[in-house]
Amino acid sequence: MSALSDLFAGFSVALTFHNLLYCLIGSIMGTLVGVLPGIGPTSAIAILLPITSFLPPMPAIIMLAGIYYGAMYGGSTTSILLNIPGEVASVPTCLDGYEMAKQGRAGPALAISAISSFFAGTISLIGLTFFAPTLADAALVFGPPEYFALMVFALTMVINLSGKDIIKGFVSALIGFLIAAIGLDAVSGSARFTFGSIELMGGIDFISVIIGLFAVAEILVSMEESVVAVFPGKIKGLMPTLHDLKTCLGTMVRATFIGFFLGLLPGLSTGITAFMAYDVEKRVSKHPERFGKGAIEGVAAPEGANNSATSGAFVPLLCLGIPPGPALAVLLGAFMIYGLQPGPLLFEHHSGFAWGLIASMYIGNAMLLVLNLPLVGIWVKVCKIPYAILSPLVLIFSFIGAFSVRNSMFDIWLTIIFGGIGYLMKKLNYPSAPLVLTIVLAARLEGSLRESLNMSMGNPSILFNRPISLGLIILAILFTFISFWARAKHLRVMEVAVEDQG
Amino acid sequence: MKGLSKTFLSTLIALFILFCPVFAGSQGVSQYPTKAIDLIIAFGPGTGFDTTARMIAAHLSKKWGVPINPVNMTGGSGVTALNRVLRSTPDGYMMFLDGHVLSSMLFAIQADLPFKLNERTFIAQMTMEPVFFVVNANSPWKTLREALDFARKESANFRWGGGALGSLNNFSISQLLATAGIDPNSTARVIFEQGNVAALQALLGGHVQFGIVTTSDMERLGSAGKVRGLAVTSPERLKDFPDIPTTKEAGVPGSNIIGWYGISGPPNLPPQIINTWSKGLEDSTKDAEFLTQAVKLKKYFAYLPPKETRDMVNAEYEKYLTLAKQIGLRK
Repeated sequence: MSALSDLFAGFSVALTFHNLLYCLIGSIMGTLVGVLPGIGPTSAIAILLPITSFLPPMPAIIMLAGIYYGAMYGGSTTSILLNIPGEVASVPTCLDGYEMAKQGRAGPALAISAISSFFAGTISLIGLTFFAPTLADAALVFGPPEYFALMVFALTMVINLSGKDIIKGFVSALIGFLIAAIGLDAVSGSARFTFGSIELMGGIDFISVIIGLFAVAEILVSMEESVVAVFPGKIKGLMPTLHDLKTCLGTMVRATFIGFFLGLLPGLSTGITAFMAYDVEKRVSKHPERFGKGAIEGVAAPEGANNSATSGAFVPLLCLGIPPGPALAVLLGAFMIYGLQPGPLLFEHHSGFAWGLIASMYIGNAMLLVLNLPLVGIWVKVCKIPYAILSPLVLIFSFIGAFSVRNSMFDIWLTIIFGGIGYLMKKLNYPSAPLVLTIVLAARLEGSLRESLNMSMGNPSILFNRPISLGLIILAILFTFISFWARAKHLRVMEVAVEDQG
Repeated sequence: MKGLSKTFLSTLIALFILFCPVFAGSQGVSQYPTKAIDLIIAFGPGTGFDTTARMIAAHLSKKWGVPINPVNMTGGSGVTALNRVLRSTPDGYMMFLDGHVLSSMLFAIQADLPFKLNERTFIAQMTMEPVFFVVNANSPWKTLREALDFARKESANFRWGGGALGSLNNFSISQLLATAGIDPNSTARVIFEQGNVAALQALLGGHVQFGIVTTSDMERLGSAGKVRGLAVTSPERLKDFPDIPTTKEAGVPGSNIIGWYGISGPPNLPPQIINTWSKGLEDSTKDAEFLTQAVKLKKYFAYLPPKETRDMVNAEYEKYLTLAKQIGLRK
């Protein structure tokens, strides 16, 4: 139980006034950064790197880490209230969260988001505390073929996200692949679908796509319907009911595990993790047809998963020195500025620092819960703001967010174009979730396939003669059949119900 | 009366704010720099490229008293950023971090870029990035020779991690193999478009057997006993890594690729601005505080003035062009 005693030692470091203060500052800033679309923890941590020149390492790293996991608390706010995903990990939250807001249940949605984030964040930290080194080594077992198989498995989610018309879902998914292909291919050097344009050589950033498809398109549709406000009626419950909490308990546990284990794998976007949690929830639910119409589990699952993924992400960072994503890569830079080498030696040479950081994350999660729950009452009022005032503000924030990703005016044009595309898709009943999913998956799907084929000099059997990748591909095929069967059963049930009524 | 004085007060404040820049910017126009400078970084935060840029920006910013904003502009393997900077006004307020990956190596690979290699103002080379050839610590290969012997005998099973197409991995390992008489195309070169971090991860997991690191990763993973450095491409052994032989000592003197980072600006930058930057950069490499930072980040600073930098890059380009054509990297 030496990990436990190390953790207690870590708490004694983290519970000093100085460190607590910076933990709070980091958590608050993280939440704010998460709320704003486009600007993510990566930029925030990068902008704040200069603090390393005047702060000692412990408070500085505690603060920067707080920004990272705090952002996952804030990301759900705009998703629920305005249908703008704060970052890609919050896209699944929009699907049910915004529906809940339109039904006057923004309060419970925001609250369950904070509660689920806290639950998943804290429980997954236990995994980090006790199992980190083992898990880090286990995660290394995932090589290119395993990543590819995982992506194929994730692709089966398209079926579930397609709604009634599966053909439209597939079309949406294929459009996503097409969009993801645009740009300069880093492997072969060939320019794909760039039509000679320099801007397109840089590819289409998915933030522009999701802000366009969700926020801008929603505004266009609402303008058409002359929406008065998101929910102009009297808002009754701010907190989830006991029934809601009971329903979500299983959800939160599942989300914790899914998020944590997927977060361990470097290179796996948190968006994929959030979608998977959402998908699993829909599969195990007794009434999957509620998803997409305001099911509270549809908010609890992705929000919990993206928080436990942050704890998982610290495993490869602290144990191997491998940053699993861009935000933690910047944090790694901060470590290096202080001369601290994350990796196996960090726990040996700087045990107080390492455990102080982990302890601060428990504290940070608790602070974030306490901060976010009371704020629900304030955020909920956004739903009553007259749409005529709200929508221009939303547009402004959307464009700033889209611009901030690459400091590119072109991204703003893309956002507008995708807003138009999203509007068309809504009118023609094409689901946009598959499109987003494939854009997020495409890079890794293609990348890991090529890496695998590089490894085997072009022989595809490498995907099938390794146990984990074979297992995942079999699971993918299995789940595909199960999904189709479930859809067929559901449609038959609906038909029978219609007949009975008729 | 109350209303009048409120309006008066707010007008006064507004006028004050409007004219603040006049009070602040009372330096002469010919004195450069007078306002914030954007330092464009073509790759994402957390990369060695980005860290170096931020280090230089922070230092010069303090010295010159104006903010130097590190601005990440990713995409297109650096082409997006280059396109933006090289077409900007040469007034010294938009500069960029340059390096092998945006100059000599990029142009050796891509034949149809919308600008030429020398269509920029080279200010200085700042850092040198020697390349360490590494294997997993569990690997049976204890010397570079053993690794190369395997590559020669069982080429198709020799898996190595190359980063993206124009990357240091790809070039340096291809050169190593070529000079050892092995055709790189007969080996299993795994291109990781996510960059060297992904290649390293694969190396640690045993999915590839051979790779490269630069100094900071060598320090971190080497001292933790996760990777073994077989050789380094610098002309002499590095004092931080006395146990790692040079490629010359290991029998492949032709393996000599060393990366570099530096500062460049748009074409036709006025001489005064070039001088300010080159002097500022040269002084920083002698500044104690800057050097302490550099040691922490394990960066080797080797300043080259503008003309020498340009000559160096052009010579490198020729070398890389030949190599790229030889191993089929050129598009």
